Amino acid sequence: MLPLESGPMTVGTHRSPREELQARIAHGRSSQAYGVYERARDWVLEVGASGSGERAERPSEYWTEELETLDYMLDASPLVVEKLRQHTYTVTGIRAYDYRRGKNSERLAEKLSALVELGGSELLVPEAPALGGFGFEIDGALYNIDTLKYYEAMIALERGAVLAGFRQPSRRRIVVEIGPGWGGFPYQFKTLFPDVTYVLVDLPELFLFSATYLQTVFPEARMVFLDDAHSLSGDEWLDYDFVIVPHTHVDRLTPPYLDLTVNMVSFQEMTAEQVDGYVRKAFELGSPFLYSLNRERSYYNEELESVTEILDRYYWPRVVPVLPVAYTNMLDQKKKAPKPPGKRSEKESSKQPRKPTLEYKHVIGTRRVAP
Amino acid sequence: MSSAATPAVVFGLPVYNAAARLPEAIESLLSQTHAAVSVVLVDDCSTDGTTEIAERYRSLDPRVSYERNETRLGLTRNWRRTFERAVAIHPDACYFAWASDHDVWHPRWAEALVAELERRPEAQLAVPDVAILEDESVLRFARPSGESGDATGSAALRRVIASGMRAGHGIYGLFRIDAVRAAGGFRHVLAADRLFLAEVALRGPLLRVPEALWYRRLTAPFSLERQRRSCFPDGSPLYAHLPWFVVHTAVLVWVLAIQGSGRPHIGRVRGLQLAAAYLQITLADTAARKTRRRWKRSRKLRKRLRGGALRRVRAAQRQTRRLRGRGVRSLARRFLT
Repeated sequence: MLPLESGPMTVGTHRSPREELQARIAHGRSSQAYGVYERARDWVLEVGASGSGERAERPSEYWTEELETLDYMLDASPLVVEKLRQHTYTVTGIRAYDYRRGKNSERLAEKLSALVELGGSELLVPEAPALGGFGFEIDGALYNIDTLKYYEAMIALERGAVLAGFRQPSRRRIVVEIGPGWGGFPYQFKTLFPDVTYVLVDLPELFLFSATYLQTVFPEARMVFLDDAHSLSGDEWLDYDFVIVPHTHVDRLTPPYLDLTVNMVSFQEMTAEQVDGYVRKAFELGSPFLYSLNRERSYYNEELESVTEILDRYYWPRVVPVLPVAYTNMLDQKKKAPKPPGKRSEKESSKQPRKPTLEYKHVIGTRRVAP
Repeated sequence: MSSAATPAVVFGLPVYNAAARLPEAIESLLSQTHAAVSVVLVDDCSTDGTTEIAERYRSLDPRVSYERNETRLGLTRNWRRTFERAVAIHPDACYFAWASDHDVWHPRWAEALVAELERRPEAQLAVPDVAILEDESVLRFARPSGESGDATGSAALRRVIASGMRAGHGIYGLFRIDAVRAAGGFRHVLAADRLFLAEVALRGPLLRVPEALWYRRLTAPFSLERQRRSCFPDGSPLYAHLPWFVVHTAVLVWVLAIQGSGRPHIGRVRGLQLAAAYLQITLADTAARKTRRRWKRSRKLRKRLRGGALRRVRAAQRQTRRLRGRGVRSLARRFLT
């Protein structure tokens, strides 16, 4: 039995475990997080499932399978919402369980300090403890692989001189993230740059995580869901902190201007047609920068050849190196660099030429004038 | 957006046979977030398709102007002409920058540098940090390009010649147009960028903006012979075969001490002193570089020698082991038989 939290309990009264659970569920049902969840769920049911619609709107095979495992989130108990972050492993592959024992905490701390050395601590935002936030505790704050991934992305954006514009108070900035998952990067970005309208484009089911999470960690934030019945025009976009756009309604994406488009680890899982559609959309909306943290394609994705090749059609892509290891690895998991041809053994040389490596790359694209 | 007739910043892009990289360079200039930017291309009789690319961008964007020289002028004269044409086409511009035909300018380049120069009216030039573009598109962030802060007289010369703000980098910074005019523009000599920057530095501070806003493609290492060919396409004059620093010193003596064109800021006697300081600093810097090169070369040689000796020792150890093994085997055979 999980420990009870303060709330509906009356001190001194004895309750059976069943009554305690019911009281806890009742308390959870009246929480703000659950209220946001219910709002998001009703909207998801209204908008419709991801599998319907035109071919270009349908998720890739990988995501179709993944979404099937998320069915339970359409009828989540308040107890699930209370620990929402621990249910995001379907989206991230990162489990809270791995952070309960400290055997890897030193390696994570080592990577964190390497990143701080590179990018300074100004851009570092730890995991929020809300909704079951987890991670290793380092210097009194929580950190996990996702936290470091987003920090790495911030460093890449800083090195690419993209963030300096966000520090100028001249006007409110607009950022679009395609595939924000559970909302971790929007949380970090909005924490660092509050004067931003952050637009989230994703499969509707995933907003059960991101909308609930973001509204809970930013209770004062103004959030709007776009669909057939709701759209924004002109400066209305600037009135909101978070704008939720289902991938089936990308035509509703009509901000007056755009400062940055972000994609992390989801272009690689899409079809070539979908990636082209999103990159073209960013280009048409005038986004001066497009940041991508992706492999050329996921190992199993046969519906895509190269993310960079598609970016190159509309943006000038430039790779910004951050650490010598992928965000998924620790510093001691460096891969051996391939030997130069002259130093390879006969056996190595006789092997087939290597396939292009599918490494993660921080790419910042600057908009082409004439694609 | 202010109109193209009154741009605040004008980029002068001298081009010669650079079709491969030119679109990326032009687009990076046209993507500047600074509201008032124009680009003036002056083509030194390219033969590779540069004309078609330039004409294409001129038709796409009214901020682009393109002119082609009637005869080949060579590198220094074309740079000089590019400045003259840029200020003639955009007489109201306040800032000027030379652009290369193969490098990339970050969209915030002009915005950040103009802000810095507006903040410091006495400064002549602002230069950002540089990142190197390798393997087509991978950025390598280089060391900071030099110190910030004011420097005048021989300290300013030292900054340009001997510090991190190398001429090949600083020359692509953002200049006040008046500063370019006052320094007399590009001289028709070898290593003209170095002399020009020195002349600018004598008149006011050079600013460093600590943000990598310029992405440079390194093509080939500096070579005087290559520069002689590209500066003097019709054959090099006699003075082009003298050591470049002697020529530069002579120019400074002529301009500052004899013509007195640095007055009232720099008097004739002071001009002579600065010319002497230029020669002294350049000689010291050249000697220091030579020493560094020699030291690097000898270190490499030592490493190679050490490696060779080690290999020989290991080979000898292997041979000993083999012989020992043979001896043990023959003893065993003898014992068994």
